[in-house]
Amino acid sequence: MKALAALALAALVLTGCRIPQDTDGTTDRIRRDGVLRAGISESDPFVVLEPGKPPAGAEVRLLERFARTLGARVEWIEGSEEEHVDALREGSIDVMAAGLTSKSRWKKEVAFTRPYLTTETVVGVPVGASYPTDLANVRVSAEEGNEAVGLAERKTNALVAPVDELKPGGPAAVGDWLLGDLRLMPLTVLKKDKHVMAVKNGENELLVRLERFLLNREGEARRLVDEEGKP
Amino acid sequence: MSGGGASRTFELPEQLQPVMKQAKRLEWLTLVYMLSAVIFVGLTLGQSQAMKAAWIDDLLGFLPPAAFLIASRFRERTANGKFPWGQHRAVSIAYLAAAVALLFMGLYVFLDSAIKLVYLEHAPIGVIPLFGHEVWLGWIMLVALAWSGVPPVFLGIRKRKLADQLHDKVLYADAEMNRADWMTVAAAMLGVIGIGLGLWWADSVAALFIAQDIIRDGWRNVRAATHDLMDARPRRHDNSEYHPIAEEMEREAESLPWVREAVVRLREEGHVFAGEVQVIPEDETELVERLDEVADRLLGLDWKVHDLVIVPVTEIDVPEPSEAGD
Repeated sequence: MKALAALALAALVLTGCRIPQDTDGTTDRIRRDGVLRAGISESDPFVVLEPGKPPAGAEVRLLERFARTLGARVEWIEGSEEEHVDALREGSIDVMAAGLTSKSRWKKEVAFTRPYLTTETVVGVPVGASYPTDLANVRVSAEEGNEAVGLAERKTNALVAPVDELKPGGPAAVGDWLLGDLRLMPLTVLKKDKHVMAVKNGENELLVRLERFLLNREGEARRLVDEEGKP
Repeated sequence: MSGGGASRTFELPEQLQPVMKQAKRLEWLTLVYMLSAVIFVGLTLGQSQAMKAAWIDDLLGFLPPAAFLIASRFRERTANGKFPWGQHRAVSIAYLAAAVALLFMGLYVFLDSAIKLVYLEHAPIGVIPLFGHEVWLGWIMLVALAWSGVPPVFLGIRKRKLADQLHDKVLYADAEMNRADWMTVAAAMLGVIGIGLGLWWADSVAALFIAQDIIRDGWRNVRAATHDLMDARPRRHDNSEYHPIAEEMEREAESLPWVREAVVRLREEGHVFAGEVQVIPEDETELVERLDEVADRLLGLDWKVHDLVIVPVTEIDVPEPSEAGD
């Protein structure tokens, strides 16, 4: 026991400040090859994928900047969340960005970063107008098929109208980054989302580097989400 | 009661009362300290198996001090119409239930860690914002572990001394567990450092080591509690051998000229012993008075002997204990 402890201590001293280290040496490999392999799934405004265009979105921009700190460029791999989780577990990709939140079902499968940004789904109302706080019988539009439809129906007394495209003018249930464009003011918060990215379990050096990078950039992430969220 | 007999309201001998008070104070201190350790380690658990195991080990540490303090209340509660033997046993039952729960927790951690090892699960440990810095959570874990591992050693050494004076097996078990705590903590630390060095298996291996220790402790406690409830022959507080008081009582009884043979059968009632003495009298003159005299003499031997029934018999049929047996 004592010998083991001494050995561990010696190892600590020898490796100096390079703690924690990756189990599979992912960080070293990224630096050596100059390539960060990122799995991305569409999740506007965090990851925006349009045919014929390079990937965009707040998390895409953040990962590009993170890769630069390691002296690497990003190789984007598009796919579903499930594909990326499986690939991450096998070490076929290094990091995953898909608009993940801290409550995601994958949280035991892969290593989440600490939340780098909190966004809210809100009911916004036109600036200057007054509405009852429970929104009784107020027509609130929300993008068809978006969780905001259900959230607004369940949590308010509003008459929720699913629409194909949101337009400025009336109250709407939307992500808070859209409020400015729709010229709305937040009235009620329907849901809070804490945003994270994921790396492979055990790649703790990469995890810690990514977390340190992201945690220093909350304002930057906020701006990116607001910009990339523009229609 | 048939024959003679005596019982008294339980009271510690005067010279032991300050020791008892000190023991109670120490156990309260242990509880408060344990709570702080459980909260600190609990807050830094993360996804480390070794930390989880160490945390459960800390939870286990609540058991003996709680049992000791509760028992020290119950011992003062005397017998009544509903519970003619007093209520010491309530403590044994609670002790058994807690011991079983902890045994299963140990088994759970063991299996959980074994599965993680087999499936090559790697533990992620990230950073935590602390006073404006992002510190690797692993460092905080090490601090939490040190807090949960070093003070108990000193508590354990002090409690051990008091346990020897009080002949108290719960206090003794607690002291021994505290003294052994540093091993759990050292194992968990190696697990966390292992993760830091990228040795993914270190975490689960450390957890397995701690889990087997919890299982052993749990099993030992289940056994002790079960034996209590089964009225096993009392052992010394450190479990080293049968308590010599039974033999001493037999010799004392047989030293009386009118006693041909005497056999003592004792059981534990919480901190004290109760039981019966079967006596084959040489002649039966003034038998009742003589039986009372035996009871007084035997109760005077040791404060631990608390409640005796003396039965005159013509033949004795009580199995002798084997020296090795337990």
